[in-house]
Amino acid sequence: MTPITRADAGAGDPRPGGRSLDVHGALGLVLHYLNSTMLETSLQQLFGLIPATVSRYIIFGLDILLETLRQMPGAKIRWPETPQEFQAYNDVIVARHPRLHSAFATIDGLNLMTEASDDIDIENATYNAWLSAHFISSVLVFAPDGMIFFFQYSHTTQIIC
Amino acid sequence: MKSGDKFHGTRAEIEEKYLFDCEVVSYRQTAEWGMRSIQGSFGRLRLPLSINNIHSRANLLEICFRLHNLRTRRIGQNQIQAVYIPEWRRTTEEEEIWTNFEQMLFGDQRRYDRVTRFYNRPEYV
Repeated sequence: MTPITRADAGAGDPRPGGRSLDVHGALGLVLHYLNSTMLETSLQQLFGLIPATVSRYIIFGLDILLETLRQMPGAKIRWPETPQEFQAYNDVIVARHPRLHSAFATIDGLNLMTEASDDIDIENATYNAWLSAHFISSVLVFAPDGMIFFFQYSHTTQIIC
Repeated sequence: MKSGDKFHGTRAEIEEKYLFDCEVVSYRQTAEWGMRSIQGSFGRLRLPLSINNIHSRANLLEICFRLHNLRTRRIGQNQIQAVYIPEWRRTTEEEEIWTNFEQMLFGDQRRYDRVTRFYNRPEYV
């Protein structure tokens, strides 16, 4: 067990008995954070925490959630691996769209808004004059069953298994 | 195809190209559903992401996309499935393919939003 990290103090021993949220509460907080646009003040009220605690739990919880998801087979992001898988996806598509003989997935771009940056190079890379805002562009590939096969964003390549 | 594009060929070839394009456009709708599913369920992605911390931004996206896949596999609630998956089961052969891919795909569908049902809403009498 590790202590919950905080930027204003060194790492001491973990105090599991002194934590504000148990593991279910921490997961609930993180999922609320991900699935809503509510302000942290609303999360504070919902979970009965002070602002600093909410922030720390969100950061800590997101790290644990990511590590957990990376170990769960059900949460994999992966390309089909066998010809049978590709054929199965194509069969589903061709059943509705008979002319799409080789299709197995669909690909599209996603623009996610970001904060503006003081760094002029980052500013230049993210500002989109057409949309008049700052974006990180990403590409996602979707299977006919809604699974994500692949995603890549901006100028860094992310191949995820 | 875009408006104003010019093609050469027989009438049959042009007609076929047009029909192919219609199917591509129709299937492209699945990408839109996928995007809407992601941004609809992960509201945090609609807010501006942190610009300075590349790793936390990448981690947030990876979490959302993995959660999406997990939910799709376990619960199966998304529009892409609702439209395409019934196609799996129309024949006996397709039913067999469906059964063999059970582990890759998903389970029961749920209808109710999992977050809002835990909050109180006024009911006027």
